[in-house]
Amino acid sequence: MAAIGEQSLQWFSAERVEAVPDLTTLVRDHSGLLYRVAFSVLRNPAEAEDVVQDVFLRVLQRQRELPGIIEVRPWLIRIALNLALDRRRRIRPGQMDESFAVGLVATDLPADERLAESGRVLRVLAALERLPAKEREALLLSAMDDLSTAEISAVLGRTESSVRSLLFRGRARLRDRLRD
Amino acid sequence: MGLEHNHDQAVDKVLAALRDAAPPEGMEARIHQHLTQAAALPQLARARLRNMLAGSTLAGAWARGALTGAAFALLAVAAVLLLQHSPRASHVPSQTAANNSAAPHAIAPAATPVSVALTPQPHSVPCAGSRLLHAQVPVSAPSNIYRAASFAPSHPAPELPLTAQERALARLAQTVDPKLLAALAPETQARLDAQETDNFNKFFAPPPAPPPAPDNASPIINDQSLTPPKEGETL
Repeated sequence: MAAIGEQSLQWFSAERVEAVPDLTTLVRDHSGLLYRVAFSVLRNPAEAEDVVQDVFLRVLQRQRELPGIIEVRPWLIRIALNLALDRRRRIRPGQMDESFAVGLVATDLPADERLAESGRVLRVLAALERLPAKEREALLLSAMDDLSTAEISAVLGRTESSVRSLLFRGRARLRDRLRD
Repeated sequence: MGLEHNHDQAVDKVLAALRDAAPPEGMEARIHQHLTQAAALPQLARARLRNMLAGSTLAGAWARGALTGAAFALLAVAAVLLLQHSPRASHVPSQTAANNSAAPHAIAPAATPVSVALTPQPHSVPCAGSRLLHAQVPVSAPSNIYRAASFAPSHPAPELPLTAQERALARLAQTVDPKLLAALAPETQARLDAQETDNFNKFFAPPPAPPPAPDNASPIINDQSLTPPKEGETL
């Protein structure tokens, strides 16, 4: 009986060791997604990279809690989103939008069209900024292809139907504001 | 409709650009390096502390000496505090034991005896050298200690030094004329004032009217007609 108990303990401990991801693995698997999440909020490559570094520093500080976390990816995204939102309060909103908008416009277009196109992108970004926070976050997270509605709901702490509603309302509001 | 389509296109374009943002080159390596440094810092600090405490260098000796000194200082402070508290703690039971013969006054249900000063009662035995006596009052809780303390006799507050006005009055009483001092009393002052007013009225009062003259009285002689005229004065 004691042998069975020892065996099961060994099995459980082995399972747990396998289940706990290594920090290197976490960086390799999730840094790209975390960067995109941070970039969608900050639209600044250097700041987004800093956010990703901060995320993994937090993970390093709370490495002992890792075995207790069931879904690591939404947890990491939530940390990245919160850190990016914190950082966004410090930097001037719209600071990097102009260069981002210019980078989006095709270079082979005539100058006047390029100007109009970049203006349109800037208007979209400004309207996005004026959305309610939860709608904006839902829209930005939904833009990430590899995030399901369930994962977005886990990140935002809402139900899936609530996330769908947020997405619908956010999109409609964005369209209305661009029409004005 | 076409305009809305354009807006939707613009929104999709922006969201797609945000989605496709590529991380800068070497980001993973930089993160790894940063994490390695961050993980090494606490280990480095621990190693330095261990070297300082266990090493044979001069700094290590200083650190060990400082730690030992601090420990001895703490022990000495603790010993002094214990010595200061212990006589006070042993004083109370001896006092209560000395007064065990006094009649107990049950104030509350008894649990622990507390010595309380009470005013002398007819059935109590007075203590030598004091009109107060200490009776063993059984008290069960700290609140009862406060309640029993309320039975203790109140002592008058010690005399305070004289104020400047009081000192001036005392000096006045010792040095100034007693008449002046008497004037300070309101009754005396009022009596003096009334007397003065009477005197004033008597002095300046109009003279009393003369009594009326009788009809058969002698005719009034003009004194002026009797006196001879002066020189140069015409009649």
